[in-house]
Amino acid sequence: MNKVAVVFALLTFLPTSIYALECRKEGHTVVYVNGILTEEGDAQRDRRSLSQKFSNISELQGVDFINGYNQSHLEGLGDLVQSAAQTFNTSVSDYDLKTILLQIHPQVTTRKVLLVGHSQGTFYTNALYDYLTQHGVPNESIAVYNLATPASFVSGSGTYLTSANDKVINKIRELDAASGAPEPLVANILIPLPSGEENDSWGGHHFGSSYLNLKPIRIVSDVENALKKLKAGETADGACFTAPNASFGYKVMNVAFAVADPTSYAVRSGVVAANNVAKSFAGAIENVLTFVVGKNQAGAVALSTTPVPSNVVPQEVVVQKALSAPVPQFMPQPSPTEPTVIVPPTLEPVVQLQPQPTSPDVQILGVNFFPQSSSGASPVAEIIEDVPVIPAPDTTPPDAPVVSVVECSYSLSSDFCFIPSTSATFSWSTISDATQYAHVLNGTFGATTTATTTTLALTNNATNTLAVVAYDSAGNAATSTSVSVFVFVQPLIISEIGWAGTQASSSDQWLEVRNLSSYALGTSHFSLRNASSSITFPFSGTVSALGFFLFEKREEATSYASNATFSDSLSTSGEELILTWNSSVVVDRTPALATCAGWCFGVLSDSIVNTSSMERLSGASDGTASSSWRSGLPATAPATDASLNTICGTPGGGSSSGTCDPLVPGFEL
Amino acid sequence: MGGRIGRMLWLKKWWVIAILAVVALYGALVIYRVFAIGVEEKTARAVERIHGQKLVMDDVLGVNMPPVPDPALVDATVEGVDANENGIRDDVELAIFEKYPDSARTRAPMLQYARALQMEFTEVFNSETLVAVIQEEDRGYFCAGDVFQSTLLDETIKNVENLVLNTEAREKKYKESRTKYMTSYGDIKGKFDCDLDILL
Repeated sequence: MNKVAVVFALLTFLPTSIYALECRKEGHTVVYVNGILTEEGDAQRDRRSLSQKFSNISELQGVDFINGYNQSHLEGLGDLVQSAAQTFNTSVSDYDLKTILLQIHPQVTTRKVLLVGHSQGTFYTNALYDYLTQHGVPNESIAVYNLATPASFVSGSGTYLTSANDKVINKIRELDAASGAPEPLVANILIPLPSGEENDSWGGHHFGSSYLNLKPIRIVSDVENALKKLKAGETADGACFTAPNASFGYKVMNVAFAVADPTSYAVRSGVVAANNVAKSFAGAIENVLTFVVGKNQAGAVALSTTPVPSNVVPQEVVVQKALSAPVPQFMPQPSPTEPTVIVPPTLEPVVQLQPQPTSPDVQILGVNFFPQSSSGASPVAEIIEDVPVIPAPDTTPPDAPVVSVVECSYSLSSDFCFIPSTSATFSWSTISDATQYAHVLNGTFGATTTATTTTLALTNNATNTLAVVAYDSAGNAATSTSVSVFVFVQPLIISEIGWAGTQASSSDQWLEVRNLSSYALGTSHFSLRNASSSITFPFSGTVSALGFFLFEKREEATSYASNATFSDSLSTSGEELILTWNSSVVVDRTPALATCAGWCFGVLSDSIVNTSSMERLSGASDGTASSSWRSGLPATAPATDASLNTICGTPGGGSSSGTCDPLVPGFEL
Repeated sequence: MGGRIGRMLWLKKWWVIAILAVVALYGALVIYRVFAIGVEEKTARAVERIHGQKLVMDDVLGVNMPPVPDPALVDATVEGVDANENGIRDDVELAIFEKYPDSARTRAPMLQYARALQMEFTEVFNSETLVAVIQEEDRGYFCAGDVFQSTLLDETIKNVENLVLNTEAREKKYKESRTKYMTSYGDIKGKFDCDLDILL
């Protein structure tokens, strides 16, 4: 009976969490920690969306995704206060950290762990890393990857991703810079603002819509790379890590939040309109802190209430993968690889703010959250008084520059900027209070410069997008509206040369060029001539999409209507023809005379064989190679010459077929 | 003599009080644990029930289609009407069939997700049960990911959520559960995402 009682007592009193957990060498665990004021259900959606995209994109198997839930307290009020403290690299309490650790402890069953944080959750991933590496997890087994981080570092030299269009982080950066708090890590990618977030003060900051949905490959790749670098180190006691003790103080807070959080929710639901309470709390806190510490130091708290000036990072600044003009169906599509965008560090103010002497006013400068006083009491805030007034920092951005592209003046399309060159010169307006500029080409920032023009290498077969950021001496930035330039280096080629004329007359020379693009091309900026420029072909009008432009010596030369006539004569001993754009950019050219000691192909009728043209092979891009050409064959629906003879060639287009019958049997071309 | 007797009585009284106090404390703890074990058992049964629910082929093929519910009753309660007792609210089930009348393959994950979401109203009373329901919801989500393109997945899931959380009371219940009980969690192990291999 006594033994039964002892066993019963043990089962009654002993905690149930003492059983050792297996910590597997194989496999990985990703712990996702959400940010503050996350809508109910968003943490769930974020975790599963990350898991889903990872499994779709990555080949890495055996990855467990855990939600390390960062709970909001007091309808966000507690989180805002905590965030403000964390911005200063301190913490109001470690309650949430302990909670996350206690909750994930039974779920982390692999030695290799990646902590993925978003927004305020990145403060916790940093802290979790520190805790875990001190409690059983080897450094080589754990890493941190933070998204949209307001923190100034990533623990363990981990990686991060922050968009330059993230309004929340931009606001925090601005306020931190003004208050002297450690600034968030510099933006290292430019993600376009998703539709609907242009006027959202949280725009560009959401885990799903602003980051993961727009950069799934990049984020999954970052996660995958971080996981692959992890090694299954030995743990101290076989468990993945040692969980913290739930101290009496922790349990008291647990009970307090268990009562207060639902109460706050009920108050919000019952008394105040849903979305206004958090803002009201935040606004109240901002007002209080503004009163206590000065407006500029209420940064982290104010982030949820203060809209970001739209001209700091305007919505037009986008990484332009989507083409402004439709992609020709036969053209190679732009590379699916997402451009990696590197944003340079935020420029430090050129003029350092100096304390101004002799102000009669006392300005309260700073606040320390929950400092320990010498008496052991813990005042809520310690106010630092009697210090000189510092003038309000300049947070007004300069005017945004206006960007233009020199080459767009010679665009092949009147609807959009279309150039056949991978080099373009960009210039922008001078901004009076700007001290430096930086260009952003396809999302990648260039070096800063004081110049207002730059020549850049563009990507072929793609729409290239460029914006220019102007910085003033205080480091404020304003970004131009982006400009787009579609580049296709060989939109027009010399496709067939009837240098030998026709059977009817050797003087009836003709020449054909072909539009390889899906757009109608203006010809006014093209020039077609021979190497010595003694022969020119006068373009006029447009070339239809995928169409042909036919030059003829006289209209009767072929049965096809010409687009233009020319008066000069091609030498039957050979010519090198050059097609240029904007006077100097060679778009296409035929083989040099020396290549074939004359025309490489085509036949001048000598009463034995038929006259034929020199025809470009389909898909041959290098016009200077003899292998790109052949002698012409008649079209399926043959063109005829002035004497109604079938032309051995396809002036005006059409598929060639059959053979050119020799005039004398037995002779072949 | 009298002092000795009195002292013995006092000692006797002290021991009695101490023993009674220990017994009372023990009794209180046992009673507490009885209730706690009762909650644990109730939780375990609910979690087992949540994970034990499974979409059957008849649900997807419309063999057990419910009648159109009485408009007066359809939103009268948070739980709503489930006449055919397959765990999917009748108005939601009919709406999914109406939207995708020709594709059982498309209906399957949506019905699976809708049924998991419906359990928010019927099964959640603590963190363990919330996590179990969320794990089932996530299975439905991942299953839908096998059918819908990634660009349409979230929109499709959102459509189902709009069907299930179609009233203020249901939305409130959904949010309240999370405010009270949300915790850290991972995927359920050893279970396929899709209840039915109609997706294969």
